[in-house]
Amino acid sequence: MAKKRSKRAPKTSAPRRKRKGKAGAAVPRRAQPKGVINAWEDDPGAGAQPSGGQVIQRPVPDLRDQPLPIRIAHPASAPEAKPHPPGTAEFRYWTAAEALRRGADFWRALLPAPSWEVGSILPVDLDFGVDLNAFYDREGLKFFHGSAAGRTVFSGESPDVVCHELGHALLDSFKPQLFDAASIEVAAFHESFGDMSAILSALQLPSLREGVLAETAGVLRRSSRLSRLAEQLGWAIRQSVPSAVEPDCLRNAVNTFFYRDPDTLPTTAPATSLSSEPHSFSRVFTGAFFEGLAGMLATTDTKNEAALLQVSQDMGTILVEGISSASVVPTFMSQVAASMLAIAATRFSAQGYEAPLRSGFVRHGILAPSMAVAATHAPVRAAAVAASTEPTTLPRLQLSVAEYGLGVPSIVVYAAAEPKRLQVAGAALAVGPAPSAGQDQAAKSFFEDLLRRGRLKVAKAAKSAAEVVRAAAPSTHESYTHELRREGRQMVLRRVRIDCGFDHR
Amino acid sequence: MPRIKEQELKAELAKRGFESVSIKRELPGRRIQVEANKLYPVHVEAGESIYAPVPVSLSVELDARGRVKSIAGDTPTPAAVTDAARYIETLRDSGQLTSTGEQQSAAGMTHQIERDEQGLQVLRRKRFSIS
Repeated sequence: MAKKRSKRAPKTSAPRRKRKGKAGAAVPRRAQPKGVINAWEDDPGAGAQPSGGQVIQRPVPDLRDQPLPIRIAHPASAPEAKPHPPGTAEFRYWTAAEALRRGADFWRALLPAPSWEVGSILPVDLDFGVDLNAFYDREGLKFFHGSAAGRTVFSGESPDVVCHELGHALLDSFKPQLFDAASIEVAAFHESFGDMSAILSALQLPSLREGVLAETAGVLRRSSRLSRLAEQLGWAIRQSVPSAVEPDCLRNAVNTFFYRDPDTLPTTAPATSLSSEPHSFSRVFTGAFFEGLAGMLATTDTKNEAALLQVSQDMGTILVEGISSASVVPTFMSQVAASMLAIAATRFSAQGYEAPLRSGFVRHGILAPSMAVAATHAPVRAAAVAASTEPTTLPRLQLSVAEYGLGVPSIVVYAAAEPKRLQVAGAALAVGPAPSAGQDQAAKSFFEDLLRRGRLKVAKAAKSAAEVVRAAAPSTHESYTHELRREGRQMVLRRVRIDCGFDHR
Repeated sequence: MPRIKEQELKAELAKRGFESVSIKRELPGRRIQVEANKLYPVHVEAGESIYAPVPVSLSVELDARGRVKSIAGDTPTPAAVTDAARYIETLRDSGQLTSTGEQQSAAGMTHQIERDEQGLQVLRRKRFSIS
C-alpha cells in the first residue's frame, strides 16, 4: 500500500538560475493555480513491489506555462484540482501533470531557446491503449495501461516513466538530428537521456532529495529509489518476461556495465548482460552519469539536500552543453562525455566536478583514461618513450604512460612481480629480448585497467589530472593494489597489496 | 564571411538529400561546418537496398551572397555506414522494426522501413519507447 507522506516545509535551496524563454528573454509567468494535488514522488512501485511508492502533495501544476507548454489531450478535461486518492483516474491525471510540468520546468531553465519539435505545444495521451510501454513520437507523448498478475498498471502514472518520455521530447527539441540517425550509440544515448531526465527531474523534489539521502546514508552511488527507474512497470514486465528487466525495477542507474564496441555485442540479451539493443546499451552511459553525479555531490561541503539540488542543476547544464557541442558520430557517447568533461573543467572548475565525472566515464569505459585526460588538458602531451639500456636480470617492459597525465613519461613493469595478466606478457618476453607490439599492448592494457579501476595510487602532484576515484573506496584506509615507486632513475609499477575484498567495483 | 541565411541554407541542403541540418560553426574561407543526416544505402534485403539516415559532417563553402558553392564531406564514413547496418540488424532482432504493410502499432516497434516518394526503401524512426 502506498504510504501517505506529510507535506514537507520548503527547504532552503541553492539559488536557481533565472527562468528564460526563447532567445534568453525573460518570460512573464502566468498566475499560478492555487491549491495542492496528490502525486507519486517517483513511481507507484517500490523496489520489486508494484506498490509502496510515496505519495506527496504538490502545488497544482499549470501545464500551459510558457515556454514548453503541454496539453493533456486524453482525458480531454482535467478533473478537479484537489488531492485525490491513489487508484483513481483523477489521481493519475494530476500525478502525470505534476511530473510533466516539473520535468519541463527543470529542462527549460537550461535550454537556450526551448521549444518543442512537435509544435508549439506538446500533446499528451495518458491512456492510448493496451501495452506495458510508453512512447514519444513527433506527435507527442503516449502512455498505456496493461495487466499483470491481476493488477492494471498505467505507465503514465509513474513520474519516472513520464519524465523519461519527456526527456526524449526535450532532447529532440535541441538536438533533432538524433531522432532519426541510424546509429546504435545515438539511439542508446537517447534512451539514456530519458533515464537521466527522470533522475534529474526527480531531484527537483525536496522530499525525494531528503528521502534518497536518508535511504543511502548520503552515499548517492548506492542503489536507491533514485537510481531505480520505473519499479512498477518493471514489475509488470517481469511477470511475463522475468529476464527482460532488473529484479527490482525496469533499469538501474547504479550498474557496472562497461563500454564495448556495440558491433561486438549480441543484438539482444537478458537484462543481466549488455547488448546492442538501445535500451540495454544505454545503461553504460547512465551508469557513468550516475556515478559522476554521486561524485559531484561528494565534492560539496555540506552534501545535503540543498547541495544535491545544486549538483542536479549543474549536471543538467553540463549535459545540455555537452550534448549540444558533441559531434554525431558512431562513437557518440565518448563525444558527449569528452564535451561534458571540457565544460566541467571550464565552467565548474571551482566546484571540482571534473574529477568525479571523469572517474565515472573512465570506470564505465566510455572514455579511455588517456582520452579523458586529453579532453580537459588538450593538447595531450606527446608520448615520450625512453627505452632503457640498463641491464637487468628480470624480464621487464618499458611502457609509455605520458598520455595518462601521471607526470612521468614512462614506467617499468617487472613481469615477474606481476600477477596473472602480466605474466602472459612476461612469459612471452622470455623468448625474445624486445616485446612485440602485442606484448606491449597487453602490459599497457593491464596498467590501464589498474588506472581505470582506481587501483593505482597516483602521486599527489598528478591527482587532479589522472586519478580515477573509486566511489566505493573506503575513507578510513588505502585500498590501492599498485603504486609507482621511484627506483633509481626509473618509475616502477609495484603491487602493494592483494585485495580479497568483496568490493566488485 | 557572408551572412548565413540559415533557413535558406537548410532548404538548399534538403534539396541535396540532407536532413536534420544544424550549423555547428563557421570555418575560415567562407566555410561552415554543418551536421546533418543523409539517406544512404546501408543494407540489402531481398535484393533491394535499404536506405538509412546516416550522420555526416559537412564543410559547406558559401559564395559571396551566402549561397552554397561547394560541399565537402557529404559521404558517410565507412564506420558510420557499418554502424547503420548493424543498427538495422539490432532493430530487426529485437522486434523494433517493421516494414510497410505490417501492423504499425506492434508492441515494441520503434522503426519502420517505408517507401519514399522516389521509391526508395528508407528506415524511419516512428517513436521512442521506454522498454
